[in-house]
Amino acid sequence: MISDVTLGQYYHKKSFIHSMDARVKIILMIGFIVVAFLANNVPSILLTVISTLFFIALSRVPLRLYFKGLGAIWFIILFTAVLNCLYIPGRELFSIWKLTVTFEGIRQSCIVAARLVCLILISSILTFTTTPTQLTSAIESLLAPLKLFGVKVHDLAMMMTIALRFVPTLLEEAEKIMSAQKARGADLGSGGVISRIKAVVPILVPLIVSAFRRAYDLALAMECRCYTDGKGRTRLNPMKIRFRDVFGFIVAGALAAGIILLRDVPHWSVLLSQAEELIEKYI
Amino acid sequence: MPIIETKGLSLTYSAGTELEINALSDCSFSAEAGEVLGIIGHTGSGKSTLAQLLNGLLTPTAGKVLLDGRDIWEKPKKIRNVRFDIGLVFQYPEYQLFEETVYKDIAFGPSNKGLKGDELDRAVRQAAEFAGLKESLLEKSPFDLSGGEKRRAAIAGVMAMSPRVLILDEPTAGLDPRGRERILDRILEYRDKTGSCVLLVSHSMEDIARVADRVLVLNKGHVEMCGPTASVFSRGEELAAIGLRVPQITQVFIELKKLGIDTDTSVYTVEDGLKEAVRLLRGGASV
Repeated sequence: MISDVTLGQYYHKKSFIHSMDARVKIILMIGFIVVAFLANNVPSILLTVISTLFFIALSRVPLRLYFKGLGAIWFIILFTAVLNCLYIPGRELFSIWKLTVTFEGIRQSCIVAARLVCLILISSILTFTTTPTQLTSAIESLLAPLKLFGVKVHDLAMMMTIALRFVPTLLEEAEKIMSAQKARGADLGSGGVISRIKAVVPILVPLIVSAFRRAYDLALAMECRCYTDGKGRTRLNPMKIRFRDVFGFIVAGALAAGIILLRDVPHWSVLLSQAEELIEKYI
Repeated sequence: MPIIETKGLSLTYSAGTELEINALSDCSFSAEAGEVLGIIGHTGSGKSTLAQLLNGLLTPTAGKVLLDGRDIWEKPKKIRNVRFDIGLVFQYPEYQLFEETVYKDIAFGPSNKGLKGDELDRAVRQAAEFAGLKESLLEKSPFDLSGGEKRRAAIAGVMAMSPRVLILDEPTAGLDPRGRERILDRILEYRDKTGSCVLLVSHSMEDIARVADRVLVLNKGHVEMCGPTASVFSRGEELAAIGLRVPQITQVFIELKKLGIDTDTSVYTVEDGLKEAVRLLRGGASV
């Protein structure tokens, strides 16, 4: 069934991460994604993996759900890892035809694969532990400074919330319309390209018509309740930074700092001598 | 031989998991050509599931649907052909209209069936007539019609495939009394003129009382009762126990009986009610 696919993959559970402020979670997620890109040697990537697993354990969401999310992109990870493996020069391990596999290559592809997996797991932690509504209000709050430049942040957030809210509804509707057209003998999913495209019309037209109908109804309902944009609106559940958010931020920050400290940085003296060379070259 | 028959029809969602739901279990009944079988049941009793199983939109987990004595799933690849013989009109069918004109929309079903040219034209015009749509409406956009007209146009879209079994899921939902009357009249006319079998799924006991010859009562996915309309509606208390009720007119006579008036409670249409009331007033009853 199509309705099995949902955009918001929120998993209801009570955990430390679930109860954190969505804004803090978004900032931490972005921070960790940056840090995962910075990690460039074995110790630092190892710490990234350990921290990710630590957060996953804290989220109390079953591990298999996380791996289900990875399912779709295994191919990309494998592809990147294999390419890295073949193109890094270094100590040769073995070679097939013109392709040489090196020790450095294998190490590098492990790092790249681990990094990609961590990126996806980290973003899954956010979506598993935060409801779509929390996410949009957090985005609204984080983008608030853009109001100074005339961006209608509240309207954007409201649009996002409504769009997310209607994804399951429209999927359900699409399924109903598909059944109804099948009952009239519509042949979906066979024949050539053109007949397949033609077969979509009887589903798409009623779906769009109904989306407009729903939009008008919703707009009317909102107006009847005196909805106005932006100014002076209050929230049912105001977002508050609490002690646990500060605590979580410090723990995550410490782990991120650890990763940055562990990474390979070209030594100062190397950088200096490189700079000297450049200067000599151009003067 | 019954035109359509089910044997132990069952559908279980997510079988074997903790989320297992028996949408329909061990449902057996049959219907003859030329009869109207009403299907009633509480919300979630499996009425819509049954409707979709009957024309092969859903696959049963156990049991069979027989059309003229042959299993509709005999050749799974040919299931589409079954849908031309067993037409299903969904709930709120007006939301499936999509063509530029009513004519083209009605033609969608029969042209999928393979009709062309004159044959197609005849099928469309006949279906429009069955559904009570005026010639002049055929060239209009379906989106410009009134609610009741849209509903009838959508029903015509299924009638145009000339199904021998016509299943309608809540065809009168959300219409005003006149719209309901018209749709029910049209359905009866289709049955009379084509000799088809009509299965009418409905919440409205009044609708069922008006058109059904027999009634199938579903409760929690299994067949609770099945029999002639009068005999089903004479079991008011059992119906009430599963969240259904008898037609209002029947209720009136049941209350009269409770008051000690010796009346017949198998009345289920207003016309019969009138006759019974006249009989009572002429002194047929002893208080």
